[in-house]
Amino acid sequence: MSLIDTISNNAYVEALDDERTIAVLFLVLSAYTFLESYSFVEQAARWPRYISVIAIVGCLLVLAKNVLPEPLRLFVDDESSKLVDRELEAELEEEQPADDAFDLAASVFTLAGTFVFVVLTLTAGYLVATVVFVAAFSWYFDIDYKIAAGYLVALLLVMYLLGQGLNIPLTEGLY
Amino acid sequence: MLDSLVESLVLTFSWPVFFFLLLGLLIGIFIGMIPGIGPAIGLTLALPFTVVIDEISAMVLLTGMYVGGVYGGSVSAILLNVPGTAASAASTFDGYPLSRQGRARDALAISAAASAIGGLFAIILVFLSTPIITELVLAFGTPEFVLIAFFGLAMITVVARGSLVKGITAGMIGMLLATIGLSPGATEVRYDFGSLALYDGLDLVTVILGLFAIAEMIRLSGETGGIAKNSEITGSVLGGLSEIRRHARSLPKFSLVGVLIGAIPGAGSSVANFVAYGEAVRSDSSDDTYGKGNPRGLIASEASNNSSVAGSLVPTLSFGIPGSIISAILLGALLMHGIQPGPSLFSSNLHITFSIYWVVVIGSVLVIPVIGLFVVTRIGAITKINTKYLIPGIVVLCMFGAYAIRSNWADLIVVLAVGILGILLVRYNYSIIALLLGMILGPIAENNLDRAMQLSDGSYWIFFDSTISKLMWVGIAIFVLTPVIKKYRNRT
Repeated sequence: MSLIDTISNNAYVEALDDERTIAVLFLVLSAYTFLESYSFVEQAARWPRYISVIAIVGCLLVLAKNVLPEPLRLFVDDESSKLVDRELEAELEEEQPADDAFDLAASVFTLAGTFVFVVLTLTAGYLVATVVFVAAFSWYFDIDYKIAAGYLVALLLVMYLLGQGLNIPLTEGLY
Repeated sequence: MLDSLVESLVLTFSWPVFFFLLLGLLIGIFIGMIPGIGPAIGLTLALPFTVVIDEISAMVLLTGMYVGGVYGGSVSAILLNVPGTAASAASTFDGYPLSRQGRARDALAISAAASAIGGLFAIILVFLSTPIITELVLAFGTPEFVLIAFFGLAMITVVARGSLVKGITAGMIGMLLATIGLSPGATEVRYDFGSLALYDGLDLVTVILGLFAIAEMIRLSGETGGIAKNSEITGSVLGGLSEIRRHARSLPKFSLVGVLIGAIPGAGSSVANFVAYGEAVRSDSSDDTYGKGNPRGLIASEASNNSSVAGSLVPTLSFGIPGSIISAILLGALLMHGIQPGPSLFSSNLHITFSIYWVVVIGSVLVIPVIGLFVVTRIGAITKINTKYLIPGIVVLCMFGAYAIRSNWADLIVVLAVGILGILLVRYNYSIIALLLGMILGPIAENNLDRAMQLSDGSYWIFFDSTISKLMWVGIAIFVLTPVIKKYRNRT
């Protein structure tokens, strides 16, 4: 079992697989913007403070969904949309080949690769970042090295031409 | 007037003006398709080169790039979920699901035809009713701008299918993201963590690239095969056109939305496509397929964003008020060639105004349909290519485009962070549309609310003074209450 599989099967990760996770994230974000607004002058603080309060109320409603009275819960739950989604998903599953399962590890790899790309672009520039990203991606997804090399050259050519016009340096870090 | 109209038509078809028209449209379509580059950067780059050509050719070239760019942005939005511009963001909602169903050709044909008809309808409307539209635009003051923003935000209740509270929360988070950076009135830099990189706040196109493109590429990498999940691409140009015929009655409405919102300075095509999409969903609430590949949703977005081009020309040419960055560049081009915007463009320089209108007509009637239906629809085959060949290029170009917008290194981090947020939003059924609406309309609302309160010495009655305000309140009430009442009715 790979490290990524181990992580994705972890009990804590499963516990996070809940709509309340993002509600907590939004709650923290809006609580921060609310509290931080007190460090601004009144004119600049008013708007984010109002918006933060509405966002906090929304997050609390989502978090307290299960204990809300029926009329209020009506506006929080999304049973109807889930029902439609399931029907659609079922239709799509029928249309897709059996081996078309979602590969979480591949998505995590792309996310990590994009993160590395950003870090490398900021520190070493687009040229290094693009070479590393395309090479790593091609290795992981088993792209023929000749195709990968051609792809890389074409991509760098496009970036070079756009970079010339837009005055974007390719060989130095952007930070 | 008729003489000027004919004279400008002859002028537009003359050499080298027609060459610049075609060049502008083709460059526009191409740059529109590149994530993050879009017509604004394209026009900025082209502006210095227009010094060496005459004023008609310059305006024709730039307007052609504008028209082509708005259309081109939709192509990548439909095929790859990568909106080239903010004006095409709403096209992803139903255009991309159509591509996923193997109906990319249908979607591209719908896009081309709706853009063409919408653009044509809009320019006729602008031509016939410029005096009325200018009156209407002038009637919009600061309080009405606030209400426009509220009106757009009220649409969250319509577009946030599923949980209303989650939709509103997502909208508020979008508005909070928009408060980062320098506040209105430049009194304070907010939530910048002491970094100059956040001084100007988050860029809308950067957020869109993260929310749609990066999130989708990360998700797609977990699948095998192409974007289209059907084994064959079943769509066709005729199929797309028959959808247009089926929804022909809605087209003028979406075009009108585009013209009116495009004409209002500060709103523009990025708002118009969302408002038209919201109206499509609201007026067809019995259909639950919006966001899952409903052709009418795509028609709404496409007809309105191209119509907003014609609409945005009204305040730019009539008063010299640029409604958007692109209008400001067009205005700059006029001034660069010694033409003063305003009444003179409707008297002694009428031929220039009409030439600009003709670009929209020719672009809509000839170029977009021909290129759109016979060339671009063939690109639909891209949805059959294994995504592992597309993802690295799209990720790299998105990151490149994000930096190109304003040369800010922090935008790369924003794209990645918002990409992760986009995955979470989709995963937990939070409305991405609501978040974007909040992000677009939040600054409009805050800027004008602040100004309106200063004008009225803190009295809220300023928002009820004019007839337009009252009408807008009625519209807001309809938008907010309809889904609430419907939800109760469905339960009982």
